[in-house]
Amino acid sequence: MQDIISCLQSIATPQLIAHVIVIMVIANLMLGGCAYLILLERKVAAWTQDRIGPNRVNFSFGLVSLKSKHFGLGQALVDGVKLLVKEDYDPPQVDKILFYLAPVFAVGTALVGWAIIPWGGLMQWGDQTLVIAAADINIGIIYPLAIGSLAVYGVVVGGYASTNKYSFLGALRATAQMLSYEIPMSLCVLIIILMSGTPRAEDIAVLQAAGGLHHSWNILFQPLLAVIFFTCVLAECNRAPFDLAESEQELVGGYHTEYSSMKWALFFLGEYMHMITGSAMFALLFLGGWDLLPFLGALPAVGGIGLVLLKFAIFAGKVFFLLFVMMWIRWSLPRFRFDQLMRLAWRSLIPMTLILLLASGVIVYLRLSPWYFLLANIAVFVGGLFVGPLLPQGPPVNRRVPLAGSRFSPLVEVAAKG
Amino acid sequence: MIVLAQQVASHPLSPMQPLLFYVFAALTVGSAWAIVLSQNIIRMAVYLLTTLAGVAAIYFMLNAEFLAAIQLIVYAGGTLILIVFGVMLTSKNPFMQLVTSPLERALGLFIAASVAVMAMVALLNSPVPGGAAAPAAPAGHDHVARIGRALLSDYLVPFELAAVLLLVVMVAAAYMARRTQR
Repeated sequence: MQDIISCLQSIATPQLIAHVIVIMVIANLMLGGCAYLILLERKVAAWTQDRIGPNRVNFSFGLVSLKSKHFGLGQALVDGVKLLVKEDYDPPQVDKILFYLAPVFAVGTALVGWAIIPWGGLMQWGDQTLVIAAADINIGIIYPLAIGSLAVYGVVVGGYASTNKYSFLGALRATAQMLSYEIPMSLCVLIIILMSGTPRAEDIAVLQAAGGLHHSWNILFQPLLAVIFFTCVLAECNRAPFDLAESEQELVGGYHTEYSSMKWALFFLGEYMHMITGSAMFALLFLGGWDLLPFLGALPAVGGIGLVLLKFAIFAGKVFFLLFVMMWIRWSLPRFRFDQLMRLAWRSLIPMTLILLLASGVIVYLRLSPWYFLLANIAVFVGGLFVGPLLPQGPPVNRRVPLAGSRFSPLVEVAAKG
Repeated sequence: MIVLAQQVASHPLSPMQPLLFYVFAALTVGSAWAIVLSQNIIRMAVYLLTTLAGVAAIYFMLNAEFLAAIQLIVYAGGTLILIVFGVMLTSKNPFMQLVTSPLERALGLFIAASVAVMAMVALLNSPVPGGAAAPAAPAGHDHVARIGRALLSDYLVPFELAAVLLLVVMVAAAYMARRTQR
């Protein structure tokens, strides 16, 4: 007994307790938040399409009678219960092992991906400095990339195991999409590591929050890179306009066509958690993490519990705003065609990030002012505008097939001539 | 508190660590076993993925975090390609069962046995005495900078050669995948 107590005492350092508290708080916030993000998504869709959206379910649940509808906030809970009690049906032809493994990949990777996000910055505890993150890994922002490369397996394995041609097409599309968009995303992270001089998440946030003209939010120095990174995050999360793996108008539901009940819900939980992680990564890399305003250096890097809570609120606000932008984009833009998707990655994003990487390397080597990054971004953007039309065009798509009865019917031309 | 922290730092094997090691080792070995026994090429690829992920988890436990991340990025990405190949090469029916002949079975057994003997000999002759656990890298080490410096100084020639090789492969792939002129 004595041994166990002394052993526990030696393990339970303040840093470990901080990690455990962060994990418990953030994991629960994310799981609860996902249910309400789905409600928000439906509300945003409704506002975009000039509808009202779900507004009926309040917190009475038929048990007590309440006058107020509470803006339909009970909907998320009711949806959760519905998914839990719905019949869990396995189609007879599926590959059982992989069919059950796929939602595990989808949620398992989503649950560990956000480990390095420094939600609350640094905290002073006695004479120690605690990192308010789920884990303090010294490879920092490389870690979410590693987890992200595993996340695609939920879609691929699920689509394959369903033994359904629509699911299978969705899985193959997801494979090509993830392989393509991982490259510019990694290059973006590499450029940020290069200009910060460290891969550690907390140090990157501190550097952007330092204040002054030479330390500010990276989006001000690298606006083009920020746009590219956000595009890649959308593609990696399988969000519209890049949701070709599920595209319900062409592939029924794509990879999750055969899934129902809680297994289906796990895919969606995974998708929304990846959205949160992606937004948090963007906020960390480009929006200064927990920093309040650029240039000011308003918040000190290390502080007490009050400062940690304030920083967490600012960080969560930025993440929430980015999530809203993602939904906004989803309901405003139509889906890409597959060849457009591939061409966007291979012919514009990857060359532009490669040139930016080269330029950033030169700027870092010569120790120039960070505003040269902005110059490089503008140069690459303008250069792209001029060079783009000169590049060889792809094969013609949307060919006009002269088919009787179609818009390009040969009979009509004959009739017009005659 | 500082004393306690120093104790933990000097004694990196907390009681959780052997337990976690056995969990991840069981995952690695179990899924490797499943690759051998499975007859479906896509299932094999997925089991290979869990094997690689288990090895990556053990790297994480040894504080070799950069190595673990690269293991996940490179090898997990490689498994994705393997799945695509598995689908493409068995394009008639991706759900095909692979059946091994007795000769293949004997050959495989022979190769596996020789590799096992080689590994045992290497292990028994290794400098780590008595098969004790290899020392973990000290936590908080700046692995990325050290690996980068080593690659661009001591190992510059192999590094550049690998880069040139990859470039050649990429040019060749682009050449083979080019649109044929009609």
